[in-house]
Amino acid sequence: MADPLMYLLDAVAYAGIFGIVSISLNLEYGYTNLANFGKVAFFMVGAYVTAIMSGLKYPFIVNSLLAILTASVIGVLTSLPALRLKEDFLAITMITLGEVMKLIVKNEEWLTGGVWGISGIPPAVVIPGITFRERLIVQIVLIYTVLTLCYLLCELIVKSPYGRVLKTIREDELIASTYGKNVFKYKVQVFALGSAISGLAGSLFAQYIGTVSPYMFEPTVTFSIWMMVILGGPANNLGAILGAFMVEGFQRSSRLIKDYLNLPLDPVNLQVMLTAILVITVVFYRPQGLLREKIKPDRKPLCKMVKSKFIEVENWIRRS
Amino acid sequence: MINWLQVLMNSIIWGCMYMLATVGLSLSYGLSRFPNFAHAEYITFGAYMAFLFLVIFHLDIYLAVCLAVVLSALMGGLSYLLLFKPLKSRGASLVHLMVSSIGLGFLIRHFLMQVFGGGIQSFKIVWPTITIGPIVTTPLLLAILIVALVVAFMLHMMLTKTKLGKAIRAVADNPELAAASGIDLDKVSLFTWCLGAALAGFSGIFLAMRSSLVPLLGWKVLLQTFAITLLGGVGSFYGVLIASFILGLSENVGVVILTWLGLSADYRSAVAFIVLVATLILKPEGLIAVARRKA
Amino acid sequence: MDTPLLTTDNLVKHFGGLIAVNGVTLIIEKGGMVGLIGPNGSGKTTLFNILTGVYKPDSGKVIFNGERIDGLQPHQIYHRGLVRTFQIPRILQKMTVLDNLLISVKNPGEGFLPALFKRRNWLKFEKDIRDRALEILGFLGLEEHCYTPAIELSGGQMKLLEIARALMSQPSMILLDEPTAGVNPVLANDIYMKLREIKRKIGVTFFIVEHRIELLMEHVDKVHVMHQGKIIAEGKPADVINNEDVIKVYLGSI
Repeated sequence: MADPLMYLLDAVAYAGIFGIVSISLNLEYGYTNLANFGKVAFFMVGAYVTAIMSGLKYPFIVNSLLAILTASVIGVLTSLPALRLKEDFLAITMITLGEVMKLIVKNEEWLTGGVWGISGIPPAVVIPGITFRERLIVQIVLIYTVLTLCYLLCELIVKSPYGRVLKTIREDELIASTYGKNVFKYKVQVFALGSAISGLAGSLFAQYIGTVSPYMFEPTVTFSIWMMVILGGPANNLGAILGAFMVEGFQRSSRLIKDYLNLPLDPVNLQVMLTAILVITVVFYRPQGLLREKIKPDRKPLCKMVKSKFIEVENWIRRS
Repeated sequence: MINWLQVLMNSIIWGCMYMLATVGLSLSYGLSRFPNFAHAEYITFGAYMAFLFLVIFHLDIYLAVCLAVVLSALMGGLSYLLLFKPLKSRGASLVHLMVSSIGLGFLIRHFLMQVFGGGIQSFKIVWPTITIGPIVTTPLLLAILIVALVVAFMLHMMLTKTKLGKAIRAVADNPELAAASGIDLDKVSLFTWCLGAALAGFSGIFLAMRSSLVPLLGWKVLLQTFAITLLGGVGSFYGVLIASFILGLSENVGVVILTWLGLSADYRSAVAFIVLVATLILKPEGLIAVARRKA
Repeated sequence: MDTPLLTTDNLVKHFGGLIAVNGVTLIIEKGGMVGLIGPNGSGKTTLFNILTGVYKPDSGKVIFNGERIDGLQPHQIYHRGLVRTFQIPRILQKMTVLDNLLISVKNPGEGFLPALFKRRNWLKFEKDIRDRALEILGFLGLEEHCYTPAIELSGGQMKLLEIARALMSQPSMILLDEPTAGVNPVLANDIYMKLREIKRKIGVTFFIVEHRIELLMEHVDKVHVMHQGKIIAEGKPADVINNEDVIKVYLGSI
């Protein structure tokens, strides 16, 4: 690698983007026990909508809003049949949805560029006359601003009575409905929001990479996101971000190992196999992940909550 | 001018292949109470094993197929013994089981990719065409038909006449009651997992011989296997039987309609998706529940 | 007496070939403490499930407070003032005892937008109902466990929490499914004393599945006896206990 710093920054950017997706899955699975195994589909929708819209010369803000909306609508429509049923049916529907979406992308060349995809997607923020390295920094600032906003949004949701209902649905749907909660409505809302956030992440991804193609959205992406949530700790938003960093780091390292250990293995195969083994190991020995769920919630007004969040993160960094 | 008899023939052959591919999934799903997303990779695994014995070791074709099927059975049994049974005994949740099965699937697939390469392989067999009236077929397709019929017959016999078969049905119906009646859940599960994976491997060999051998062989029919499982009713062999042919017919007719509409034939999988979603909306318990209610 | 609180009319429910509830008609007046007894498998829990909307009856009606509720979803029935407890406590383990109570109240913060934007509104609401929660917990002897994760409670405490949660929702009627199962006799009697006090204070009607005859004799106004999906006797506890059919059914089931 010519410039290790650039490689590192690239990894940081990826981790940030996937951190956003991770938070959305955490909302769906960690808090509401929705088995969304089709995460990559909504990520892809967001990326493609942005790519198509940028080709039509719309500004990024419009593209991303449309991406969020499209992902959300598709999320709701496709999950409706399965949300009334048990989580395994949702899982099956979502996994197969991803495949069907890729089919559409590969075949409708007039819209999506088919197997060649769309390239030349401009970055969201264009500052003329800066170096490549500085452009990367700008991207990272953008991504992490969005990540922080998503984190705060999700924290506000889960640390509210709404969040309490989600957790109740997760623990025991029958109790939730016995005590007056319309379980179906909540599941649909969470799915809509989770898909929307994934779409946003996809949007950022498209403008960061500059191209989209169907081969960037394999089911292994969904699997990695699940790894992030499970490893970091389900029902802990900080854990979801931590998981994103760890999995991204793990996957990059496993690809790099080849350069240093001279194994006769294809780096991608190695990465996937090791990720799979890691997931299985975590599910076996520590399914609750690294960071635990907070059981005693805080009840503070908004500004104090935001401030305390920053203090929390600061302390955590200091302690480790 | 559409040769409807040929379409029917294709539907039947696809139905046979789907049946072999899906029986294992439905039975293991019904018994162990979770969908095994690695099942598609048993299909791929069987195909690659046959390739290994037939093309690389140059064994006799019947021997190669037998060995491949046996190894697939082993793969299924090991998945159950080493991964799913321990997880279940640790009280893993449904989601955990599903995630692990996805992981296992990736593990198998990428291991195969590592050993055999990620490209397209071929069995290098040229099948002569046989023309029966308006229908064109090959010995391979006829073999598929015969194997499927034999397997379906034997499974039916086993499930209704043998002790093991009755045990399988009992456990699928009510595991606690079955265990209380002295049935060894473990043995029944292990047998079902092995059998299911064996049949999946067999179907993989047929699939690969019919088209080509690629790492995504099994994954490409994942959607279909799940659509059939849900349509037929999870855990029901007879459900799979009916649903396989319904889907085979729908897909092939669907392809005719797609080409007539000027859409790509790749969308045949969308037919399976529509069947899946329709089942969830209309009758999530599957056709077998409809049949039982009428009985 | 004005219109009864709960009426069922010839309720029937099948499961495959099995008839769990076979034409149940009963009336429960407002303000009563009514018992439901019967051998295991007589359909009591299925009846409760139908009343609370978990099952839809194959035929028959359920009328609550003058309104027909069969066919409604459980969450809709809750809003009409009918709640239930479960025989095996369904406690939310990853939440505190207080949260377990807070979940049973309709909270303005439970909507998506209010949760985000009307924070001060629901914070105040929660502060207010917290007092009610503490009062109920205190009444049942659980107030010191207010912030304990519910998973750490003992079996008996969990049963009390089940009842506390039902009370918290201020319903018109509570269906209690074996509230004293597995609880020692002293605590069991204590629970009934408390239930009667609550009935006196806030006028809740109780319909209770109970196996302990002595508790029914002491505390309950009226008893219905169920066997094989049908009501075979009803009346004052003393009368029902001495009813020939009832004795036969119970002796037969030993």
